[in-house]
Amino acid sequence: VRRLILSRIGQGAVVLFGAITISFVLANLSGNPIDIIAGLNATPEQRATLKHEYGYDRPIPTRFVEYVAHAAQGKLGDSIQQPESAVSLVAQALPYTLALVMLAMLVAVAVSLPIAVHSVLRRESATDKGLRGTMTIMQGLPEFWLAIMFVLVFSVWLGWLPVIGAGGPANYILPTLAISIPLISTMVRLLRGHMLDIMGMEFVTALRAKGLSERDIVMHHALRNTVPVTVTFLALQIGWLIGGTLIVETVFAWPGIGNLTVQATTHRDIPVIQAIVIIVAIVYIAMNLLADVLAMVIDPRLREAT
Amino acid sequence: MIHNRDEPDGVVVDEAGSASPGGMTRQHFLIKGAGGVVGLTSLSALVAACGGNSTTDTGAPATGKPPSKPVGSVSLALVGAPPSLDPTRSYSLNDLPVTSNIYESLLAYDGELRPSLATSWSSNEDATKWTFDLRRGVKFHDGTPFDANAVKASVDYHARRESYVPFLVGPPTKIDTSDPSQVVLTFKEPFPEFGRYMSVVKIISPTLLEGPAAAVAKRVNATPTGTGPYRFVRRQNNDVVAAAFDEHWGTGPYFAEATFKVIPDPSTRVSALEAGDVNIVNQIPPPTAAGLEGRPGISLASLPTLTTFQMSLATARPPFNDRRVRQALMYAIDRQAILDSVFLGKGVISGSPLPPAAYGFVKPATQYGHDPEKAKSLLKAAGHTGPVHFTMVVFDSVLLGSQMGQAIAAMANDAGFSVKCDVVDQGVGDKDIVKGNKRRYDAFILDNGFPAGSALHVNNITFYSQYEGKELLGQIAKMNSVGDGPERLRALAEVQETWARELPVLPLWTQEFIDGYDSSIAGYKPPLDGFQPQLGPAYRPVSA
Repeated sequence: VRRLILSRIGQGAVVLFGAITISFVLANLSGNPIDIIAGLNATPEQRATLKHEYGYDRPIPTRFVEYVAHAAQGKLGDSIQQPESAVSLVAQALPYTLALVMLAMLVAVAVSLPIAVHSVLRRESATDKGLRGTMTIMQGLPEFWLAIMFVLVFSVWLGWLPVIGAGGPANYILPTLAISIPLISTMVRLLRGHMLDIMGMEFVTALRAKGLSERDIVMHHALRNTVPVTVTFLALQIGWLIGGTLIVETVFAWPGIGNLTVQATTHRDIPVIQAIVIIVAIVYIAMNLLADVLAMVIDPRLREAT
Repeated sequence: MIHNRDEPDGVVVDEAGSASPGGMTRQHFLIKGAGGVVGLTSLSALVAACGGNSTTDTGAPATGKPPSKPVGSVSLALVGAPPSLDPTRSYSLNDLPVTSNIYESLLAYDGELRPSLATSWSSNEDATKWTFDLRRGVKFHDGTPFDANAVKASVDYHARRESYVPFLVGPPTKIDTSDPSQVVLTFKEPFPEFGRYMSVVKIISPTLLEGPAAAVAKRVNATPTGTGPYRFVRRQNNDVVAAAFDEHWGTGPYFAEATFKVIPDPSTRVSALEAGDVNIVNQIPPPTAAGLEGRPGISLASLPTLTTFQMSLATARPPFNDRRVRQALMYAIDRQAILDSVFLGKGVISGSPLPPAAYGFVKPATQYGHDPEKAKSLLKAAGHTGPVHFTMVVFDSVLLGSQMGQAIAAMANDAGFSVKCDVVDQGVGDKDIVKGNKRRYDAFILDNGFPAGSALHVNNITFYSQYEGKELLGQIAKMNSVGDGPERLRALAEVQETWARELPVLPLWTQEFIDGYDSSIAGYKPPLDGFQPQLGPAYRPVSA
């Protein structure tokens, strides 16, 4: 087990180096921020001076080595626009996004499990078909549309919930829903399919022969066997969710990573963009590692396999 | 010219608002400067507008007295996180609503220049020497007294290398501060617009400006300190929190706290206003505002601004080096139709590069109606047998820019042109525009602001369009060489007339901005420039 974790950490380091490289290359492809810093009135000499001050006059390989060295020490530079370091801006925003993602996952699990179980127990019934249809529609609903509709209905028409910001617990409701609804539908389909596979397995036939009810089989055996799949699925979704909150965060003016990304990109705040790429990569790697470990704890077969 | 208007005892000079810049971003201020405010038809209409007549108040109008001391909070929606709170480093709708409540200027503009931190002002005949008498007993938020040295420190700060707006202050050859309550600035060349520009230049605490440049720049951004009704408290995530400045010399503040909440999505901004999460939203797109009409509790104000849409053309190379091709394009574009369909008629077409209420505006005799046939015959006369190809660009930050670009391209295509229109990010566009004659695009659609009714962008045609026509450039030089008065008005009229014939930059229309705010707030005057809402006089009445 330890070997597996170590190898995963090794893979993570490679991925992280990739993220650092890509963030550097992309940032430099889009030009340097000197034009933004200098403004349109600057003379060529002023531009040259600024270029020197910010170090953009040095060869790209030199800058890359220095950038990697600094990144390894956690130094990702100061934001060009705001009076703070890029890392501290990301560190302020990350908890808001993670909170939203975690809440959305909890909601998704809490809602999709009962639906999936019901769907398996009453498979091919009218309710099952109805639920499956609903899920397909829900999966197709774009998050930004959901977000705007939620605001319109719950904030503007009904006046129940606040529209923007992360001021209090009530602020979490709408963004969490907007993110979790597409997630719920994907999870229901995944769980239902997986449980149906399990229900066709030989050990289930044996259980049936023992005289267990369908309900007991689903609740005690099929459901348990979906746990590793669920954990892996959620871990994989984290990356997608952190990216996917971008639109929802913009609609709800949520002070998280998505909003920061939009602002930093608009203002060509390259240190902040780089910090976002690297830190999100770290979070993603850490979550996947955690999911692998969890999966092994849950599923003994995986432990034996290593 | 001599202005000498002090306000009647202690009355609301601050609500006039220092007029000012407002491109969508700081670069735009440079390209476009930006707008104070202005009347559509006449100055008197404007003054009426200042009185609130332009407001459609669909809620019950707030009545009652202001509270005796600051209480509660007011919040205003920002379109994006302020890139900088340094007034020399950013002039956009992201930051101006914040900085124009933390800072004040020597003068204010509400259709006319008015006293603010200066109680009176004057210039000599050729506008090379400007004198400002300063208000006494004014303090900055950090306790530093406001005096002539403070003005000098701020002017120097605006003129420094890293400033985006050095042209607003000259710079002067001499600043006389020997009398602490008077500042005298001397310029090498005549500077007739200086008074107007001084309604845009914000006065920063000189204490903040002491020390090494890098530390100062950081401080000005991190802890902006002025004399305005609200003092900076902190940045909270993207938002900015400000608190009442108890020692403010003018009207207000009446709220204990003012928050500026960043809401990037336009429909969320409006939803937040409807739900009461924010009290004030500036520059609502006309189609969105139409849906708000009649909503109880929300007031809408239509603000005739100094922001004009113009199309700058690369006039030093084909096809636009031929005046007939520029005129053909003007005949090709049905400006009224675009204004009506895209902006729901919220604007005015004059044919002048200046907005209608700018100083010295005249409607030129040369006018271009929509006439595709005439456009085609002009192109033929210019020797073009097939469609005349050109590339056009519109910035994604321009209000309803892509719709406008598509409409213009379609109309030009119907009149003998062949247009490729791109919508690009502002950074990309700015990079191209500074390349002068080597730029990739033949035409740029810009929204230019004219601070406090100045002729700012008239001066920039060599930059915008590489235009070198001797007659017009000579007239512009003359316009810049005399102080305000009959001679300058004549020069301005000549410039506008020649401009209409030459078309170095196509004047499209002057934009109106729509402001939406909570009707239960009294005293709030929507900013006539659309960019600088003044929260000082705003209050929530203490029971009618």
